[in-house]
Amino acid sequence: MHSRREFLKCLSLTSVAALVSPSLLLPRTSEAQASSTAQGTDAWRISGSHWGAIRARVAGGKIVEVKPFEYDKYPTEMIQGIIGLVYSSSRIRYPMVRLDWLKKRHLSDTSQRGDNRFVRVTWDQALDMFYEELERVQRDHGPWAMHTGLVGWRQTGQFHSCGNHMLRAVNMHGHTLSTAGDYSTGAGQVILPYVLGSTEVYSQGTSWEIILKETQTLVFWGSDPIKNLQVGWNCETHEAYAYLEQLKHKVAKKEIRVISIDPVSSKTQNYLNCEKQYVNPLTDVALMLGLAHTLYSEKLHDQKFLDNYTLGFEKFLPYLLGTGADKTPKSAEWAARITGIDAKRIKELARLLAKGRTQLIFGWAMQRQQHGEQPFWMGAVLAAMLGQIGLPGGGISYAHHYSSIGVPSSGAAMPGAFPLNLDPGKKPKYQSVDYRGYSQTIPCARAIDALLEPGKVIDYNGQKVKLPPYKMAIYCGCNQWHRQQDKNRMKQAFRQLETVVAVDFTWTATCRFADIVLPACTQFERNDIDAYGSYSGRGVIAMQKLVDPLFNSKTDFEIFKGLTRRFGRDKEYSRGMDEMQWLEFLYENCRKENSKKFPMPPFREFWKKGYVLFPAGKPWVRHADFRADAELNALGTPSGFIEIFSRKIANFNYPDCPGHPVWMEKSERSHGGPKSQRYPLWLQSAHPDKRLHSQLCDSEILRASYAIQGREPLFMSPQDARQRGIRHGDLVRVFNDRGQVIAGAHVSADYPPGVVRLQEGAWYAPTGPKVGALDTYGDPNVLTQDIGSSRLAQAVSPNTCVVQVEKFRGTAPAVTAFGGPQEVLPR
Amino acid sequence: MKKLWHALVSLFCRPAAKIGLGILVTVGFIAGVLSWQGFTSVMGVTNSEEFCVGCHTMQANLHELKDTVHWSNRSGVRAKCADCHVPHDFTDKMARKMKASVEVWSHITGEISTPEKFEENRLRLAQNEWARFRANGSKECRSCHDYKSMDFEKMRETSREAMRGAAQRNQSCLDCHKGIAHHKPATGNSRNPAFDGLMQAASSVSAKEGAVYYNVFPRTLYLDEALSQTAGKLEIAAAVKVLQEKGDAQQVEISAWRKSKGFGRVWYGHFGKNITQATLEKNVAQDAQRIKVTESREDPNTGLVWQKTSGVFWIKKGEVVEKIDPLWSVARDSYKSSCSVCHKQPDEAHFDANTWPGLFGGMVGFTSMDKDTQALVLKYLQSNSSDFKQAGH
Amino acid sequence: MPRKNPMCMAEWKKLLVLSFVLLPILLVGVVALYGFAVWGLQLLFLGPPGP
Repeated sequence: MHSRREFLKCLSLTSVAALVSPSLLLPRTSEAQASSTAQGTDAWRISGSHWGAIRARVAGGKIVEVKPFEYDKYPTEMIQGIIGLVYSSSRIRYPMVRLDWLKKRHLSDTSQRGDNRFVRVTWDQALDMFYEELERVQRDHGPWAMHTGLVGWRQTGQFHSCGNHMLRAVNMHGHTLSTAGDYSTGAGQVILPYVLGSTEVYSQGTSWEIILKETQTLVFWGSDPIKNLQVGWNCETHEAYAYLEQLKHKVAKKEIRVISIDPVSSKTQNYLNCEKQYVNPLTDVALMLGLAHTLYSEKLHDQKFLDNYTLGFEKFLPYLLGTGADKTPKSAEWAARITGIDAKRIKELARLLAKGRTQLIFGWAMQRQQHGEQPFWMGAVLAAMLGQIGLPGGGISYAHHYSSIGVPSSGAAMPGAFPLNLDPGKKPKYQSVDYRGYSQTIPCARAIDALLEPGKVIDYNGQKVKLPPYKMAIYCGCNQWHRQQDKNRMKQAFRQLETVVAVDFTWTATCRFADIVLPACTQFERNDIDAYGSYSGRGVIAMQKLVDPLFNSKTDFEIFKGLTRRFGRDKEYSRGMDEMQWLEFLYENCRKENSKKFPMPPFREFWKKGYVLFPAGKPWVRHADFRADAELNALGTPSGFIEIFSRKIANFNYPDCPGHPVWMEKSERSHGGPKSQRYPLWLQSAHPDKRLHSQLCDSEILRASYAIQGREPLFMSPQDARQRGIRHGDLVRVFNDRGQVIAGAHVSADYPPGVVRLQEGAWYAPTGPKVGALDTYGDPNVLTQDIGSSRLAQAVSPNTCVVQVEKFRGTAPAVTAFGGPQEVLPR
Repeated sequence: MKKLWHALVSLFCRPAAKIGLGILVTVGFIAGVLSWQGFTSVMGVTNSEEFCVGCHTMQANLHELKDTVHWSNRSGVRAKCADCHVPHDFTDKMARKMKASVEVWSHITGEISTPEKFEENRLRLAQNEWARFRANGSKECRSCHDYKSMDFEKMRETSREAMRGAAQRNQSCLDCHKGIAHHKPATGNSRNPAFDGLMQAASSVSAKEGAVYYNVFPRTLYLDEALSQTAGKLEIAAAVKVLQEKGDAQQVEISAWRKSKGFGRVWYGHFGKNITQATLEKNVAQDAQRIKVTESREDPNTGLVWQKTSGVFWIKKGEVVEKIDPLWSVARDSYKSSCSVCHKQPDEAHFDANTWPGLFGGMVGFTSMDKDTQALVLKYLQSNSSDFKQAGH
Repeated sequence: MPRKNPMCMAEWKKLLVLSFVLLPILLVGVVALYGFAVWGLQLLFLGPPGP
């Protein structure tokens, strides 16, 4: 009786759902037309993105024109890629399931993953399968087997923030295996709390205004703000460019010395027309040690600062001076041999840094390498020896290239987000927290190790982590198959997974290697609100829906509401509110918090206008409070002081991260380093200039502006090209022991001999599912190595990578990255 | 004088000689009806919002009300000034009307005549109303919103549980819904309403001598029972032993650790753990008479020497609570909501007490937590870190 | 033709003054006194009114 009633209830529910969901019989075009009629005609709407705020013209239900928001005085050309992103041929149109998985479910032949053959299913079928897999894994295995991938640069919008939706829904069902750290600053964010008492990499920095006024020597060390400030974590304002423009004028008038230490001529160097200082790749620590040695031996260091504000300099000195175990003074001459810079020049540089006010600005590339903790630590030691930390326009910063850091914060509260956690007092359906002795949290970069070496116990930041061989992985709005190193190793590892679910709007490589693929809509097909200026807190921006969700896509909110409905928790999930109610709720909460200092109009008024702006904040100096009173405003280090020597780290006894910064040879390195005989070129996989990681790679308009013969450009020096008989525009094969990719040669004098660049985020495009298959588009992470930075941070090390390049001969296989899956019928 | 008395006596006591009793009663009755009518009309006028804002001092309040659901909503029910601020019973209403003489006085003296002056007094005025609502269980609200008439099933998922609990406890509406009709004043520089409840709880604690209590909000430490000489600051959620109470003051003992490097102004709760308990003024921290040092030990993780110290100070009464758990529950809620906007918040026991400040300090700029909530959340994370709990690893 | 009686006039005057002037004033006064008294009691002993 009971079961029959349940059955009838289910039947009626599914039939209602079938009525509601668009019929599969409708042809594609009529669906698109049906949705477009709701939009009305010709209208300008406002929206936000990682690339800035935009106004978009919608005509006939299509986005036809995008222009920057008036407040944005330095818009990026990337916004011109937005139309291409929405109407890309790579859009996921329908819920899809991998052919063999559909037949055999979790017992499928996983070596077929990546063959890109998928079957179209209905939303109900797809969500049922998703839910049944959640049930199966929690029931048969437990929380250790369910992995939710780290969500990084999700599409913007505080309400639709997709990671929050995934985690709230999946964690309503059961506990999962989660990750620590991230792919951008993995080493930096672990080492700096020990040294400077804060992660620093995501901290507000000294205001540009003060740097422009006070700094006499400004050093960009592996930092390229002109390129990287184009994108921001929330809706980007591009305000920092105004200051960089002033800096350019000051450089021209010789009112400030700006030196860029970088193996290549960066976009920033070329923009500012500043001094360039070449350094051999991956040898920054050696250069810093050479500088430190010079400062100390010429008594240019600030001993008083070291005494009052730091700990452990005396324990570092024997290493620096060569009176310690290795008997090697880290002199300018010693550094010269490693860094490729003349000893005289190193000494000059040291004297320059010690003269007048010096601000060091570090980028993140240096810590995305093996021993990536060392350059950030040694940078802090160098800055401490200069004794200017906490002075206006002095000291060190690790993030002035990020999200307009250096533009003072307005101090206004920004809108909150859709709740990631379960509501207070709620418990998941499966409450088991039995991880079978495996760790609940693993460093994100070691997610592939967990599949290949299950049960392995690794060191991580003073703890022991036991890697669980998880069975199911869920990726939502993140491209695991772009950011993780060593694709061929990853291919091997993914065969261990029983089920992979991917939720995205575009057919990334992560979808290609998934089993259930769910089409989310883009941020331009939903209503949302966002912070305008992640750090400046310049305002709140409305993201008005431009067009209805294309094809069969849905918002993440609707997708996961549908998932939670399958275990009767959808009301709790959505709190009974719809999209606009949530926006009003988030906005009004923000308004309430700001009511005293920053009056905001009521929601309806705000939504109509599209934005609210706050006045500029006061200029600010990082660490000034610490310098003013080191006892009351102690740093967050174990001692409260800058730790040049960290006993805590020393007590971990990690050979690859001892108690003070040291120079260590890398597992591979160009310019005479290990493996350079066979693979003489250093491959740097820097952040792209016309993408945000892998986002916008599918935008054909934008890709056409940089691709070479439809492939990702490989930037290389004229000398290296000539030696290999390569001309600009040729197709090349880039390879090492780990893999091979085709790319288009972009020969440029900005690159010195021995250095090549493939920008990360190039879509992975293998010729097939076989391990070792040629990548047809040019993803650098086919070539990079998947090793931890050290036992301390276990972060990614993509920049420790050497390759060889040759001209591609024969007929190049077509690019397989774009255009979505091969749709097949179930047989 | 005498004459007047006689006149009055004759006026009331001498029977009417010429006018009929019926006429007398009729005229009296009519006069009674008219004056009662007049009285209630005047009462009505003084209850209207035009009257309330007539003195210009309350116009801002009305403006704030107009932005809320109590002014305009889909059902067309409006709550005006008097509906909430004037009691509905005769006795209390009359008392309140007479109390308004203070308001007349304040209007004459111009106490809140400008928006700036009003803001200065907003907290005090709000506290008056909060106290009134606390005492009568938000009676005025409940003349419209009664627990008995609520259909909990029709509420939002999240409201439902909260409202059910409140109904069971017969809780006063304003306990949770402060600032529902006017801007909420900043209480003690804090924007986190959760502190209000803690401070209310603290105000009613009668401390037992010799027992340990926890500070709910950063407070001033004094050297004397007259609370005239400041000694420093007692940090949020710090533990103190109450020694005695005298008048409005409480004598407390603080036992803690401090670093020997520097002036020893910052006191920490545990050896080698940077969990702050108190910060003292320099001269107090250096006063060997006042500060007892009983032990010195080197911290193996930094090489710094830590001293075990204790000192006796005075604080104002009514600032501490018996248990730390309510503080932690406020902190946990703030942590979970504020730190999951961008990513999943790490487990408390994922890091140790001395690692949390660095991580927290690096990320907290992204949240809109106020300073005191930040301090409380950090202390919560440190006190529930891997140093004190088994890690989830 | 009835003669005007001064006594009658005085009584009418008294009646009207009493019922339309004096007693209404008294009413306000008594109520105000009551209000003040209750307020005073609240301040001193009762505390703010309960539910």
